[in-house]
Amino acid sequence: VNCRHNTICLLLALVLALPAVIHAAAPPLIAEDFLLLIGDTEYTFDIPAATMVASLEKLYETPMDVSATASCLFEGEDKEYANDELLIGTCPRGRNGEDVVETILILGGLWRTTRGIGIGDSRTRVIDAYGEPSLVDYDQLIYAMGSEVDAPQLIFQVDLETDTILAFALLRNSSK
Amino acid sequence: MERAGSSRGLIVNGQTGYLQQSALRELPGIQPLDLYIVYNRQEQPLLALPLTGADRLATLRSGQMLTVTGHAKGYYKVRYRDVAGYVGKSTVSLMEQLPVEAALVLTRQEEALFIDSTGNMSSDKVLMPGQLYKVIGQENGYFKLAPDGLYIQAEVVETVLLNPLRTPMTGFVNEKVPLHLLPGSEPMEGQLLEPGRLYTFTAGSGSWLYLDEEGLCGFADPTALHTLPKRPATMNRTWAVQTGMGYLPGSHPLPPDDGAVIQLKEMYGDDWFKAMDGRMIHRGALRIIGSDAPVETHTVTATEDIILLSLPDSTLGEEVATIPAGDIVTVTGFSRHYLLVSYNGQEGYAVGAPLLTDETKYLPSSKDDSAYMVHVNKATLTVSVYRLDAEGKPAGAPLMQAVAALGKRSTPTPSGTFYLGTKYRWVRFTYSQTPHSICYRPGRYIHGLPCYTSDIAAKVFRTERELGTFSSGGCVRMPFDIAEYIYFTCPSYTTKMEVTSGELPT
Repeated sequence: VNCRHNTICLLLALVLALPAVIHAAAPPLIAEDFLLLIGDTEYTFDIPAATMVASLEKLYETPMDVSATASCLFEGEDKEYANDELLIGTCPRGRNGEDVVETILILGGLWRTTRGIGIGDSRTRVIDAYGEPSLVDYDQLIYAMGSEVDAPQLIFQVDLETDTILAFALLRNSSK
Repeated sequence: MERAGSSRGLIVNGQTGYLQQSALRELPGIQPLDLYIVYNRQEQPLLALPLTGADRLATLRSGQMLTVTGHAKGYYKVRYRDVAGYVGKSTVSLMEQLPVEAALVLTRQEEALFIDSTGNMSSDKVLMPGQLYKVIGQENGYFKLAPDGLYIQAEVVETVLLNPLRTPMTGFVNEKVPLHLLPGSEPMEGQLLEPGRLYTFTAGSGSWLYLDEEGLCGFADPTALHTLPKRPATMNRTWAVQTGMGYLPGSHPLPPDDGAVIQLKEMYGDDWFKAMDGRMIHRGALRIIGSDAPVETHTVTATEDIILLSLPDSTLGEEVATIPAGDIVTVTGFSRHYLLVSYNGQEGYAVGAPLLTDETKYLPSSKDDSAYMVHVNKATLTVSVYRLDAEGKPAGAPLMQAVAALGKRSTPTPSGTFYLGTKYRWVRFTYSQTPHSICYRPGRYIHGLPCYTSDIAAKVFRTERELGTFSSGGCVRMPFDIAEYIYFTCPSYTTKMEVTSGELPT
């Protein structure tokens, strides 16, 4: 996917591309693994979706497409804000039912995880940075922060022909 | 060395040179002190000089005893084992201030134990190397140790400080995990955490957890432990027989009660259940007899004499009443091949075959001890139901299969293995309700198509068209028929659901 803001994205990548931590045993996931830096602001789950979407729309200088469906977990609607490179999933679980960030899905561009993994990187590089996944499901490397069923997850989708990352997602994995 | 104007000669690593006097700072002189003992409050280096950034002579663990021999400005000169070095004054405390109830000691070799803290009266006991001892007091540079109240010289032991956990952590292991004498040390032989039981940790050192119960004493690697979920899942009323050990909070073991039937009320994660009396039991120490699931309450006329049992089991259940042919019973639920009915103010289980209606048409017609599995294939968006063979593998073709709607991109149906949990005849969502819903993780269900009311004739507009798409909030949304079939055929709490992005692994 072409990045329409190469300069900005490159800067983002430079800021975000903290060197991958290469250890014999990579440290387990922590809350900081679920951060996304936009400009100089860190975004993560449970923050009001409106601020994050506004930052992205400012960055891309284009409104994001929005769709809504009835929420299965909460009263109200789940929403998806998307452009060519990102999809932000929200659910109405804020204190007053406001939409908060539930999912950050990276589909293109130069975005990177806090351990420096981005689209196009090899599976080996992911394993070096994160260790062996909690679960491998066909083309997905699934990492969970803890053993509880609703633990937040970091999921890398692998192109099995090239063994490189096609997309990755930060999932809050909310329960009721 | 000698001065040369404002400079001063130096020898550094064998090389001679000059530096401006103003760039040099004289190290503070060391003032000797009468020997006394302090304990180290944090992990830190033993420094070669009283200076930030000085060479590290050793790494000091939190709780280690140090003998102070002198001081210099913000530093103590200390002796640790046979090494002299420096630590910041603010990083140590007087031994008298040691929180003794949180301290453990050990030695590398046998050490004499004393009857009092003068060191003059030896006992006939020794401190055994490689074992942890609890400190119960301290005086005059000696520790008083459990269990005998004997004294050991503080300087000859290593000390580990424990931090009490804010709330005790109850955990378990899925395979044998060794305890360690100290955090990060080699595992100990014969000190193993076993699967199938619960352990309660009340203190730790760093990220390691300390255990001292029933002959086990040492530190557990937190990455090898699983935490019991804080929030349990509620259960349909479930009957079971305890066949192995149960545990009350605090993890005291409770043996099975001679085949007595118990009622389970909560499920913790995949493998642990809480009984009505509070005991926790691993699924491997249970035989689940059956669990109730609701049906739309309706009445049926008995076509033959029917025995009402106290349990959904002909061997374990006692006869509650006999329902004569022609009498009317009220059906409220089912368990296995029994219907849960009310008759003359009594509730019990009746074999369902003679009482079936359209509402209960998928109730097993006779006793069925088969195991089943539900497979959700995210690649083909299908749901399949299999009967399992003796090895737990799908036996033959699916008993039923259908196209489903699965979680959309932002709320994907999670991959993995889940147990089918609590069953609901209808679950209400924001704008709809779904029939024959089975919880597979908190807030997520496999269920029939959403309806506007509790009537399948009022199904949500276009919901059928969404079958075969990723459009749900993570639930597995299926046609009415297969949802109903699974609801009646696959027992809760024992049937596994596999969610994969392709065929089942062979």
